[in-house]
Amino acid sequence: MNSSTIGRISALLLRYFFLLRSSWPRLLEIAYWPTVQMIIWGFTSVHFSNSSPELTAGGILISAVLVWDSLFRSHISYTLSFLEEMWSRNLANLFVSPLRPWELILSLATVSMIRTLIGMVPAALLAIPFLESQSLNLVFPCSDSFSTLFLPDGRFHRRSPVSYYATDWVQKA
Amino acid sequence: MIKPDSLLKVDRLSKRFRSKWAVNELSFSLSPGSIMGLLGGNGAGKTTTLSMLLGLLEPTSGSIRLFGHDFVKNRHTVLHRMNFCSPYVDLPQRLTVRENLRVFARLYGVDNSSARIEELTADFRLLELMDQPIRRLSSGQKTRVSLAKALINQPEFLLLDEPTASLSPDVSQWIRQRLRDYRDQTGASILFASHDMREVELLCDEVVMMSHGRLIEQGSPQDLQDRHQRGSLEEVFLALNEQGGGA
Repeated sequence: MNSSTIGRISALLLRYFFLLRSSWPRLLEIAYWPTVQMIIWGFTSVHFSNSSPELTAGGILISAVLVWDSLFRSHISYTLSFLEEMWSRNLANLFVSPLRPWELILSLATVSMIRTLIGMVPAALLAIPFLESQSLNLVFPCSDSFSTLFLPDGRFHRRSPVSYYATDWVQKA
Repeated sequence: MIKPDSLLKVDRLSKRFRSKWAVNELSFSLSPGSIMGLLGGNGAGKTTTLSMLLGLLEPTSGSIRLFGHDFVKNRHTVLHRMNFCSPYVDLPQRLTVRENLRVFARLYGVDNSSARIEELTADFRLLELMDQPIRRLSSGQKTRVSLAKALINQPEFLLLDEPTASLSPDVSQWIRQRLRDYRDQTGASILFASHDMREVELLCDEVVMMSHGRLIEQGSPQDLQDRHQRGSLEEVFLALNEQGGGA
């Protein structure tokens, strides 16, 4: 990756940084829904803790919800970042610039990860004191899982990283 | 006619959408430092031609050579030397003028971008608008910002799609003067698509007239008027369209 490529990718990251900075409702919205999900499933988890303790031990249920929501949010973030360019009728400006298609894809993937982190980190941090969840145990498996999702190295087609890490984590827990 | 020293050489360029030929066997060339007008009525194929020259559309057949490179196959080798402006393509609306210019300066790899942005701010009288989001600007102000973005990388080849559409005559005149100044200072070539005959007459060294996707006439505005014994380009265009069955 040469300096021109890094410059072009950083230009798009700067564009999304300016966009997020310009609107606090947009920023709030990113963090809002994961937190709502966490609260709803947190109550559900507490409710089942007496009748089905095996389901909620170590915060399995809430952590699983957070993993699922982070995948869902990363997908939405990726799609929305691309749609944002369409809505603002800016795609032609990007496609006539020296930006290459794979640089656009990499930028959108990076933006999507940043947006997902903005959404998931507050929810995961809130889950620790309120629901006694060990959700931060998932940070390393999840980051590897995301890299597998975003980097087309063929692993995704051999085995779904979601099912791999979910099974692996449940076995360890 | 294709000249040997041309910056841009378009040879038998065609684009078909299903059964309709939007551009049909179009050939022309553009010399370094000249301003060429691509003239035609609605649906003549001007925007399709520009889209192919920008790499947004792939030609059905024909070739485009730009700076000596095969543009269709290697457009990324020359894209940093050109730029584009159109009132039909917006800049990100929520970003301010300054933010937009910073993003595009970085996208085009402009060295010393702060100095370049300051220079353009002064040239295009944008100082008071720099911290305004694009969505709050008037059409004339948006065009000025869009032109500043188009000149951010000091392009050697500039493509403009009706840049003065829906602007008042004084703003149009000011923009024409800025484009002429830019060409004179840098020796850049400009390709200008428009259906405003008067504007093309005032600005362009050479004109390519299109109708139904085909080239119907080519030459300097004065040559065309002399050749067809008419008083203006508009009269030439109307006469050619009558001969060819109208636009």
